[in-house]
Amino acid sequence: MQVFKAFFKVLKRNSFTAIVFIGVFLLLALMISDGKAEVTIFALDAKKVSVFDEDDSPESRKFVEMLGEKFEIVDIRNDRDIITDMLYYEQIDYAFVINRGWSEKLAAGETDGLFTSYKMHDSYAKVIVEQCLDDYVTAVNVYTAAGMSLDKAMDCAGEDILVETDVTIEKFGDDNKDFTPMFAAYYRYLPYIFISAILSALCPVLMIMNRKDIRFRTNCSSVDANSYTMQIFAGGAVFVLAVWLIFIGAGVYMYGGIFRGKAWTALLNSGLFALITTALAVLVASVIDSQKILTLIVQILGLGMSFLCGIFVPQSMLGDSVNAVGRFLPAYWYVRLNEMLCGDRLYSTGKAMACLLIEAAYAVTLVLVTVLIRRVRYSGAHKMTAAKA
Amino acid sequence: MFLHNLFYDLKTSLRTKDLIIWLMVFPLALGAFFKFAFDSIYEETTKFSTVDVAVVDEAGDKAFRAVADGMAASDEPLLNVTYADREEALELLKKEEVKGIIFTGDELTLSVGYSDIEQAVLKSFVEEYNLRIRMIERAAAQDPAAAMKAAALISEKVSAVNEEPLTDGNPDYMVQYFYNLLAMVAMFGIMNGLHITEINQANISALGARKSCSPSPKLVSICSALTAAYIIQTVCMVLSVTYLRFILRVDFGSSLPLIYLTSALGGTVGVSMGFLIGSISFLSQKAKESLTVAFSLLLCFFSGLMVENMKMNIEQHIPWFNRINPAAVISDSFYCLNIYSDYSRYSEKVLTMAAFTVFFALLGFVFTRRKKYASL
Repeated sequence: MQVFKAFFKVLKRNSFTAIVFIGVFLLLALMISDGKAEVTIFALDAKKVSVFDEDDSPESRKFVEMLGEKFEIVDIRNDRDIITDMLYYEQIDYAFVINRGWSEKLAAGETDGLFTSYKMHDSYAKVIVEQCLDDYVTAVNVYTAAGMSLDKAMDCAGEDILVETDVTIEKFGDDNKDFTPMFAAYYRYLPYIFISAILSALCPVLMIMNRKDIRFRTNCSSVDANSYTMQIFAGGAVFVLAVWLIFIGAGVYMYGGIFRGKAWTALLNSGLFALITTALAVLVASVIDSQKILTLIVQILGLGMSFLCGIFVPQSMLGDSVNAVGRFLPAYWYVRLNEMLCGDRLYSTGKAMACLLIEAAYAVTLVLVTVLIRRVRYSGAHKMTAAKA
Repeated sequence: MFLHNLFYDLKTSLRTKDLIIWLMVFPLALGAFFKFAFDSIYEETTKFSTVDVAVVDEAGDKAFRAVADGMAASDEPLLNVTYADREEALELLKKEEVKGIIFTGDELTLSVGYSDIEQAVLKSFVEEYNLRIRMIERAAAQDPAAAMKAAALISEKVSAVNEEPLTDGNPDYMVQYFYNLLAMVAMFGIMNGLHITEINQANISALGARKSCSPSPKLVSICSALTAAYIIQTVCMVLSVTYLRFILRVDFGSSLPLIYLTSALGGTVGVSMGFLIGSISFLSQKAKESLTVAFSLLLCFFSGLMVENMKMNIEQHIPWFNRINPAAVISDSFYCLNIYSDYSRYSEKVLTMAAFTVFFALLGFVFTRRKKYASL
């Protein structure tokens, strides 16, 4: 266990780097997941709307009041720059003006140009809010044509618009009360955090172990090359176990409480992914030897996998081609299982097991590839090839 | 002397090939991933697609069947309807062969397995249908003779909303990830900045020790190294913008020369920042590298690289932080160029970047001057 002990000696000397990265990514994990777990039956239901009432009549005020029950009204200053920023960054879904003379036009049965909306980009939310405005105007028109007064027609139209459709979410498995949306959001971002934190903290240690002076000394010792690599893996795994416990503990403290039911599967899922990351760290450290390049590679792996596998953007929003590519990456299966556990896709034990097995297969494959690369790169064969060259 | 030093500093920088190559590979790889992922998001969220739905018509609703069959006959049907009994429909939903089940009755109701865009489309359809039925019923209750007139009014196309475009630029909000990618490349100029002090600080490297005891004035030596780093970083930034704009065809708006200028200026901010951090002499090189990388990642996180609305969340709670976060200033300047037709806000960002560059560099000079070593 000489290599195993040496690993921890080097780790101790480089503990500052490890602490910095683990601290920073712990902070990021908590900030990213916070506020990303709004509990809505339909994500597209929560529409934030800003209204600017230029008509300012009793009728228009009544209309705005009714809209406030249908959507979340966000009060912002009627400043073009502010509206632009809010719409572009999707802090609000829709902004519109109730034009001057709105109530008179509505009473006269006019339907065109009652509102002016500020257009940024097309979205489902925009279509739904515009449909609601058109429906309201149509309803008032229909009721006034049927003989109602404008006031009563507005009341009836408002009542109709506010009726909620009865939507049932069918449960084909267990419900997800054991895996709350807050907890699920935290777990969703763990692959990015693990890749970034573990690679940034572990690879510098492994790179030192791979330095020529240490490696040459080890190569001429009696330690077998495979045993050396396995001891490195073991050292890395113990370190990652500690990191994993820190992140799991933080998640429990912030969002989860104690683990029950499906939350254990999520825990197993994250543990498997941490193992994959360990193998990945040993692999990356076997092929590079510069801290600066490591930073860039970690970002490419972390951010690349996050955007292709549905960590930052849900898999359902990614196209078929992206999901087809994502299937070749371990984070895809992690996220898929996480989405099943939190109810974003249908859960079945068979599918969940398949995801876990695929992740385990990735871990084994990465270990085997790393052993192979280290044998070629750090064995006598590599040195002889280099000498011939 | 300056030009002589600059020439050799450029040669030295170019010989750290691995770093330069990776600084270029970084935006190339991530840019390609972003483009691949975001193009599909645009298609998924804006492209029309037919939604598979099961209908359980136990009530024998002829009016609904007429509407559903009419839709199915159109060129681009909204729904692909399968009529089934309750058990069959639930089985189809369980197998994910349909996105939802519509039940007929007094009003349409909907069952789904989970919530997503297709399910929201179904919900919207059901709400719309129910609303129209309610309108006719209410109008008929008010005046039975008005039912036909109401039906006619309902079928009329209403355009109550006029649209006023807010920008002539590219409104696709996914472009902000590319702004932040460029900001991150600029922030990684920190590594180039750190390299300046690494080769000039006597207690950090053997080269620094040799340089310190040479007759070349330290100010000239550092100025040339800083200029060389600015040049290298600018080349990286220009290549990144060219790749994103012309190979990946990312639409940054119409002011391309200003995009190049902004990215170059952003790169100098990163280099100056690295130079300043590198000049702090009580930290080891390794500690500086770790801290700068972690610091630049945090800055990029706050500018919205990982979470798209992070910058606006910060704007609402601690707006001053967006004014002093270099990554946010860089990405915001790209945003202003794209979205706003007047340059007042953009000019403010450019001046901020220029001020950052000068401030960090000057402070770096202050920290590096008058260093004496008893022994090395």
